[in-house]
Amino acid sequence: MGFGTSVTEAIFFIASVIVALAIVGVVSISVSSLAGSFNAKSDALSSQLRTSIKITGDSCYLGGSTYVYVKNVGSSFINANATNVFLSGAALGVNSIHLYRDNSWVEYSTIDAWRPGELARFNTSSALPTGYNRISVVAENGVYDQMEYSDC
Amino acid sequence: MGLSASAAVIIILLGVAGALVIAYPVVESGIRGISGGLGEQGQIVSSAQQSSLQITGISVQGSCNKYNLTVVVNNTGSTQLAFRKLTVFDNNEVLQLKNATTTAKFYSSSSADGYIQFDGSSYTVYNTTNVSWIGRDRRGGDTYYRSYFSFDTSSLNDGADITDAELYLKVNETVSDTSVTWNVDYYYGFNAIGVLTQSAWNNFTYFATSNYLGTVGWKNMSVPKSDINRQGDTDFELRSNWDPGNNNYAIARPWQTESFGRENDPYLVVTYSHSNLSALTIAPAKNINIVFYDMSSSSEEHAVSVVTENGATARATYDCS
Repeated sequence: MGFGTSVTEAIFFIASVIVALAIVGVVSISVSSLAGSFNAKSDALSSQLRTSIKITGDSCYLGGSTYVYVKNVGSSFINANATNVFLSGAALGVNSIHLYRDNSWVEYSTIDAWRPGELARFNTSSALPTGYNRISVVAENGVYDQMEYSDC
Repeated sequence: MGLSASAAVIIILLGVAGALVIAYPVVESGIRGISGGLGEQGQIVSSAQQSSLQITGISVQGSCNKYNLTVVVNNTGSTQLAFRKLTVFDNNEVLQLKNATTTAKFYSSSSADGYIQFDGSSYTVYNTTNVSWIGRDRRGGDTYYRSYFSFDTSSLNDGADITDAELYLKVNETVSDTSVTWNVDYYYGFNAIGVLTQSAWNNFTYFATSNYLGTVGWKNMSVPKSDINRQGDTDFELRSNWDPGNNNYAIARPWQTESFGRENDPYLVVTYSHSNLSALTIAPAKNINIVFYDMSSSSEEHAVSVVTENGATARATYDCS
């Protein structure tokens, strides 16, 4: 074993270390990115699992009304301002939102939240048409409910 | 070469292990979040499945210009319902929950109800027959008959504000050989019977007279709320207020609890209001009367929906004309 052999071995060793470190770096970045994505996705899924809304009121009397009543029947707080109302697929304008608390209507504030078990009233900018239609209400995280109504 | 390869492998393995160790808490947190979300969704679904209600009665007192509406709701689910978290709609308008009452029905106790016969010198007690006797027989003497009914009303809360109490008896038959005015005097007592014995005779306080026990069928009598015992039995004695005349008889016979089934049994209905609506709950299989006063509407036809906090709904219609 001469000096040349030792140098060769040292070069191979250093090179293999550099390659190994490079592989570790790539793997670490990928694992970290996957973990982060998984966490974000799980947060979204977890939020959806905790959220549930139900359109209430009487389906025979929705036509002609400007009120759409929705109850938060899930276990999480909902941002009512980010909740949208659709009529047969088309978005409806909402003038105001009120929450029913202590036997009276309180105008929804962005500081506040729509609590579990609480009833919200969405005041649409135009009266709902009579006849057969479908109302959809979609929360911020995609959870939704639908109600078909018609003249009874 | 072998040393280089071994070192490289070791470094790679250590590096990957390190990356996984760093990533593990993040992944675990995500898994816990999903697990928690699944658990809560399970609770939401389970709660919704366990909640169920039915509108078993709806009544209007008045007309569309001004009326009171009473909606009787039965909890047909397996969990308690919080009254304050109910929402009641009438034609897509939310009604304020301000008044609620409960109607409780009590059946007469078979060991206590019956009748006593008194011929002026001796008493005979009958507490196992199907019918009870009220009246007077003046053939060959002068024998009086009085009926007794006993209701265990101890389940009523001491502070319950009773708004109405009605005693219901079903007359099976009346027998007489002369014409009489069938006036019956009602008496009440608290824990005045126990097991029926002759000591019950004259052990009561008068409160009302009825003049319609002379026909067959159900008869009801209003009972003053102060005459309802919240700590024990509410007992009644019924005495005839007619004289059939010498050598005549006239006897009314209402059904007793010993009669077959429940359809003819005497019962007492007590309605009481709830003052603390925030704490009021409706237990499974129980009813609640939700009362709305001074309503008015331009529409005659109405639909009422009652919705629980987790979305279970019951619906009924009424006409206020």
